[in-house]
Amino acid sequence: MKTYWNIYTVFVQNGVSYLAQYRKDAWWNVAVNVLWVGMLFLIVEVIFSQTATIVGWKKEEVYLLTILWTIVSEAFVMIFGGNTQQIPHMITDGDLDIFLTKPANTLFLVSTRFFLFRAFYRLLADFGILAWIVWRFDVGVSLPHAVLAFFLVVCGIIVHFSMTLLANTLSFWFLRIDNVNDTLVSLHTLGRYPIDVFPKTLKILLLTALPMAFSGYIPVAVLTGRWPWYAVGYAVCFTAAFFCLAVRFWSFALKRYSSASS
Amino acid sequence: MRPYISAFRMSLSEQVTYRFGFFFARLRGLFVLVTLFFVWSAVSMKTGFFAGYSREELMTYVFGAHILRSLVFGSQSRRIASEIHDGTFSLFLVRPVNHFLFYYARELSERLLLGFFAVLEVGIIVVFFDSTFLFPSHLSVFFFVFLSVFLSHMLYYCMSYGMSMLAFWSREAMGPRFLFEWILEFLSGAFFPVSIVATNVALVFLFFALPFIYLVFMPLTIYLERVPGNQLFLSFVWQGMWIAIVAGLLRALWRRGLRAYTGEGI
Repeated sequence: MKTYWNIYTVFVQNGVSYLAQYRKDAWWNVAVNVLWVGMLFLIVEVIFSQTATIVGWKKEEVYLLTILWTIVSEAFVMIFGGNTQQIPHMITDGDLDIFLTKPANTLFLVSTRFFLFRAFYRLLADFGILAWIVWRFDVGVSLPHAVLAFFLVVCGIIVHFSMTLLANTLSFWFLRIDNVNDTLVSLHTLGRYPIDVFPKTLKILLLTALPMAFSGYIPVAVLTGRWPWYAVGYAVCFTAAFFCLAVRFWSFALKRYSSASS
Repeated sequence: MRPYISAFRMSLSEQVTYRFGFFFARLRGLFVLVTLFFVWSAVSMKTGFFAGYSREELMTYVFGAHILRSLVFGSQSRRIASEIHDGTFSLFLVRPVNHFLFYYARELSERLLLGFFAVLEVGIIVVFFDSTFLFPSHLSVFFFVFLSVFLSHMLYYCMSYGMSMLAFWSREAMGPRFLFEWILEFLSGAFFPVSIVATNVALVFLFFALPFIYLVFMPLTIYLERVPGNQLFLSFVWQGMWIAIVAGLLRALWRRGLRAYTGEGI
């Protein structure tokens, strides 16, 4: 475990060094991110300028949903984003060979080697916006609910990672599936809306086979008391099972890897 | 003309070569469509109206925006920035082809293919979810919509080409480009009719003076027959004027850019 901790520390240090080379770019990124969140909020404002609730959700709840979804997305990008998306290229170019020869878990190296430090700054900005929402709308949240919501945000990040890993692992069989990551980004946006707007079948899918509800809906549903506390049990069990499935699928695919160039 | 026809064909076959990738690209668009369809259905469900639009008009707007996103917003000119960076752009300087038209041929083939699939997807969603897609009451409306869409397609291509040319001066052309595409899609009315937010005179003026609404909102408003005759003519004049302005800027950028180009990586 200590070895992996040391490796990860090096990855984070590399991320800091990379950021130090492109400082202006980092600030530009934070500004773009704040603008982007602002535009998401503008869509919420547009909708609520004409109606008081959407399928029973109030404006402040949709704001919370939007920002928690953004936090899950940003945390995923910071830790895994620049890595899992590279899997199809690594397989087609044969770069995966390098990681197979290292004396460490291949999946760990492949999925964590680039720590995107500028996303950390964006994440801080997002937490600032979250604090502003809680203050602005006077959102009354109890400490146990807040802790549970934070825990579910972590589950959301793991589910998002598992989903991305499952999709990118397909590149062991199919060449050039770069678009799969753009598709996942679009699919992930489904989690930005209260899933009650969707029909029952799609709602079930979003809680099971296409688990986008984990990125925002479930933490906010628990935070606002829409979901009972014991529903957290389902979220945790599902996260663990989905993560195991993604890892097993990766191991299964890795056995069929025949290298491309080296 | 032959090189451009070849570029058109090459781009078309490139699109369909990797079918799995193409399938995922369409799936991405479909997710956006399904999301917008259900969100706008939910907000107009109670009263049957939303911000002056009937439920049927709103749904037709969402479907129309999906088709226009495919026909107008292209991605081929994104390549120009990376070609400038890695030096492959130099190849175009020694070839007897017009770079602008060459990329336009590529863009056009991609847009037509994706536009065709977008129409199919809308058809599937309309049938599957038993929704309504309104048709104009006069056939002449189709002509005006076609003209407006063609002008928006040209306007977007010129703007997008200009953004890629920033790569002559900066290696960070993708960041501003991402912002440009996002703001443009938002302000063009690709997600909702922008008239909802244009609630006062200043905002109306701002929206109508800038080029963005002429990309998606205006063609769809013409389709929904919400533009009076005199304003229809004015909208075409405005679109034409913006194309002329952006084309003029492009010419200046091209000349200056070529002087700044160092052919790195040759």
